[in-house]
Amino acid sequence: MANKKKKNLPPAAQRYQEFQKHREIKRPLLKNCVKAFFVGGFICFIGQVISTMYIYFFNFTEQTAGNPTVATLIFITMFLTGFGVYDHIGQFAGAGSTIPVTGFGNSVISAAIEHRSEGLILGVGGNMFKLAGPVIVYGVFSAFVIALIKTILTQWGGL
Amino acid sequence: MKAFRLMLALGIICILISCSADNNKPNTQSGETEFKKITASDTSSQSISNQAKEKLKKREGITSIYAVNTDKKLVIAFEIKHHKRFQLASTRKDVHKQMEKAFPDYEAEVSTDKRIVLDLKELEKKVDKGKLSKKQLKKEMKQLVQLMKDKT
Repeated sequence: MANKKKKNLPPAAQRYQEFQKHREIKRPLLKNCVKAFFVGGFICFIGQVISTMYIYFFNFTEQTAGNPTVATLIFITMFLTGFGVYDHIGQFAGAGSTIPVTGFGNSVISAAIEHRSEGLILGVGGNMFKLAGPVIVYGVFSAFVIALIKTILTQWGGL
Repeated sequence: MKAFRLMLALGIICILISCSADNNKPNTQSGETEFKKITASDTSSQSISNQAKEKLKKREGITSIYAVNTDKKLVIAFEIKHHKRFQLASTRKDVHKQMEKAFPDYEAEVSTDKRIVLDLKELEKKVDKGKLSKKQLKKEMKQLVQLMKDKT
């Protein structure tokens, strides 16, 4: 796709592309992957510690401890985002900090902080779910589709 | 290149660590199943749960078993080896079937949840010391089963 586009460019632009290709700073892909792996893993480790704490000290089972764990993680992210710490973590780890549920919390809260000056309704309320909205919509929709498939398979397929 | 070397080194370290840890495992992890028979006889008899433990002990991969019964219900919780956790759901189903077959007069409940294991361990201790009356035991068992069936 990208190569096709490049072929249609005027010769000067093509030469420029060739020129900049050699001078471009290469992305340290492997290093980024390692960083994301360890930071993402560390976030999951914290989640596991919180989950185990709920199981040992409160009346939660392994199955029911998931919800309060997610809530606690998002709550912690809220503070980290507010104090500007999560930005640094995000800069350092990239996908490692956006893929866990903390990234979802960060996207909601940072948008709310950013648009605070535009007012509570059109600013905070309107922009808060700019990125989190699609996540919720497609999450719910795909859950619906999967549930539909499962229902069909179990009711008619006899699985 | 540097990053590749780092990855290689990390990979080798991971493999080496997991190997040495495997060899140093204590004996209880590799074969023996941890369980204790309940000997107290004043509350309702725990012979059924003791029999269930004996039956489960023969199964491979189970590391600890806890079980308590009333005259109608039998609650079992067990833990399995870490690398067998991939088959956790199917093992639980299997054990449930086995228990229902072995003790048709009892309503068997099987769990592998950490919380249930902890609670049942405590309950076993209480029963063993003879601290619980029949009514109290029934109440505790009811609470446990409710906790087991809680989804959210």
